[in-house]
Amino acid sequence: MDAVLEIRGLTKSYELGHLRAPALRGVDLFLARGEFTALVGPSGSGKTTLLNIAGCLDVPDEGRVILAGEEVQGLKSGRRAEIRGRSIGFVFQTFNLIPVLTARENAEYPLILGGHYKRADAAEKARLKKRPAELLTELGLEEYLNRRPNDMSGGQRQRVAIARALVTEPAVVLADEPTANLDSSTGTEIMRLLKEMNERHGATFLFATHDPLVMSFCRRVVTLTDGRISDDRTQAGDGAR
Amino acid sequence: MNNLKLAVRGVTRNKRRTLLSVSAIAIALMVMIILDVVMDGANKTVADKIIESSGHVQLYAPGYYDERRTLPTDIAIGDLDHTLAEIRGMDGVVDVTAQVNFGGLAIHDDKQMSGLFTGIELESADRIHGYSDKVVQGRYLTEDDTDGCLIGYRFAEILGIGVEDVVSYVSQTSYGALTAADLTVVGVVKTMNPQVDEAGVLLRLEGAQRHMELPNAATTIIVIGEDRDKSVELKERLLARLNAGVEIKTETPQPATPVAEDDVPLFAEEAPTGGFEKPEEVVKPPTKEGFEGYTWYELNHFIFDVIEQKNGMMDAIRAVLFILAAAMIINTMLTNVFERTHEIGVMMAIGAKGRQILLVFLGEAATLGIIGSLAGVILGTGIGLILQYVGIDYGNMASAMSFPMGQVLYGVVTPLKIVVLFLQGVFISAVAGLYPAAKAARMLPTKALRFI
Repeated sequence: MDAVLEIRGLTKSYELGHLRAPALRGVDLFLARGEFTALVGPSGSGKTTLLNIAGCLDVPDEGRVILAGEEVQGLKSGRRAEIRGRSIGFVFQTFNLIPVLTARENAEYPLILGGHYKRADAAEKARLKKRPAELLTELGLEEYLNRRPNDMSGGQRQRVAIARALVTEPAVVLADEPTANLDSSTGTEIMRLLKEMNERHGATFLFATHDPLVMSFCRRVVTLTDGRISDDRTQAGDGAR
Repeated sequence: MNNLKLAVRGVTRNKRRTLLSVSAIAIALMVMIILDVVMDGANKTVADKIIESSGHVQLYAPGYYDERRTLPTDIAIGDLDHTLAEIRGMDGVVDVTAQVNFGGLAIHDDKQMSGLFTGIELESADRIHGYSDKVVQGRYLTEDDTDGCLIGYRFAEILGIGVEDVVSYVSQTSYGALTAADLTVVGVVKTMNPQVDEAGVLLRLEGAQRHMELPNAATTIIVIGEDRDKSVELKERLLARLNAGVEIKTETPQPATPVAEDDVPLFAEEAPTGGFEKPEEVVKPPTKEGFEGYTWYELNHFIFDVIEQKNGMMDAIRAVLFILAAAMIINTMLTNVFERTHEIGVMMAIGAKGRQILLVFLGEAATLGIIGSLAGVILGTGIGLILQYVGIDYGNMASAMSFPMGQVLYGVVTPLKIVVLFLQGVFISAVAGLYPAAKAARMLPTKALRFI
């Protein structure tokens, strides 16, 4: 199976005054293309730290991160930003849309920031131009393309955030507690949509979550405890709890 | 949708804060434009008044300029008719007039005061100086006014003199003899030129030549060219032409045998004799021939030195206003960056590089600058145009000024200066946004994302 994310011997600690608090203590993780994986564990177990390092937002103290075949540790911040723009999609707990941009513009923004239009030929550019609206339509937001986030519900905003994460056709989508700010029915709807996207587009998802709902949709559940992977299991992942 | 669009929309997020920043820039620019309009108007008025009094170029006999404060009549331009004809025939010369300036003691009843007496060619002097329009009492001089004169309005007040009164004067002829005459005031003038208004007596050139014993001679020739900004070129052409082939005569005519002291009349009234016996054949001027010339700017450099100093002050005021506006922008942008720290983290997460973040916030600062500068330009130009067409009447203050100014100051709106100020406003706003934008661009994505 193709590896889209390969993590080897990852360690990371933070300074807390005069002390160093270890967040990750030698984590190994392999994600194959198309996987739909939950990273679970109690607060402080290192989920967000692992997600940040996997998403090139942070750098490890030790260890290797290979993303879509490219080793990313030791790269400069500009190059890491390029990799984020090209190979990674993010979905956040609080949606984090840009309030002055419409749904379509929010979904399109990574294409601009990542220079996708600049690199594309005319045909590809035309395809990319249509993609934000297509994704939003696929996510049921065809009526909301020109609305700004403040005029949308939480579920709608999260769907815009999903479109934004998928618009660059990234190697992996990293989602940090994507349902935490949604009620259970909207959360279920969002997870169904994400699963659909996973199946339809072959996108790889890694969720950091406490939410059993999210876990129930995932075929694989990796448990982090005190900065180490304590469990890695597969399940039906059909959303049944 | 691009970074610029995001920057433009960014300024709409907090309208009150944007309004404050925009107002600061707008007010600063408006004040600067109004100051420029008023100062340019004052400069133009001063220059116009100076040219009205000095012409574009003044020609003297060599040595006159250095001695001009003493109003020497023994350093004069001779062969005046021929000289004037030659100047009039030159390309680029629009008008010429000659005058004889001399100092004297003006006396009326029991009052006496030093005065500046000027013999003028009636028609050409009126064309250049516009005296007939400045007569506030009585009338302008005519060819029949052999012993008539015009007097400055302040001078008339000081001497307690009016139209048809007689003012006597005592002076020295070009030969150093004392001379005196009575002049009848035919009119009072208000020129806004302090020299004329406060101490000036204007009489016909022929009369002054006669009194000063300067037949066919003048102390000053005033030339008007086509363009005051080409006065230097005009002066050089005039001097090249008039001094071409001039044989400099170093011979200074010596007075003939001095007349016995007892025989010297106290006043050489109307008589061409003074303390010295006049040589029979003396060609005026009694000094070397040739000409020296000065432009209106050179003649009034002390005024322009003051204007230069004032320009320096204007630059200081401009700098202070820009600093205040820039401080407002920095404050606004720092607050914007602080408030949007989390959003900056999100932008970084979805692929924004530091340079792109920098551009967004710089663009936002520049947008504030563009809106503020535009508002300032509209307000400033509007008020400036009112000042240009309606003017500021500063009434009695006008006469208290030592500068030659009119009663109403009309502003001058200079489009180029406004464009430059607009661009400066935008540029300074963008520069002011540099620090907050750099602060945003240097953020660590994880820290920014943790910020709530």
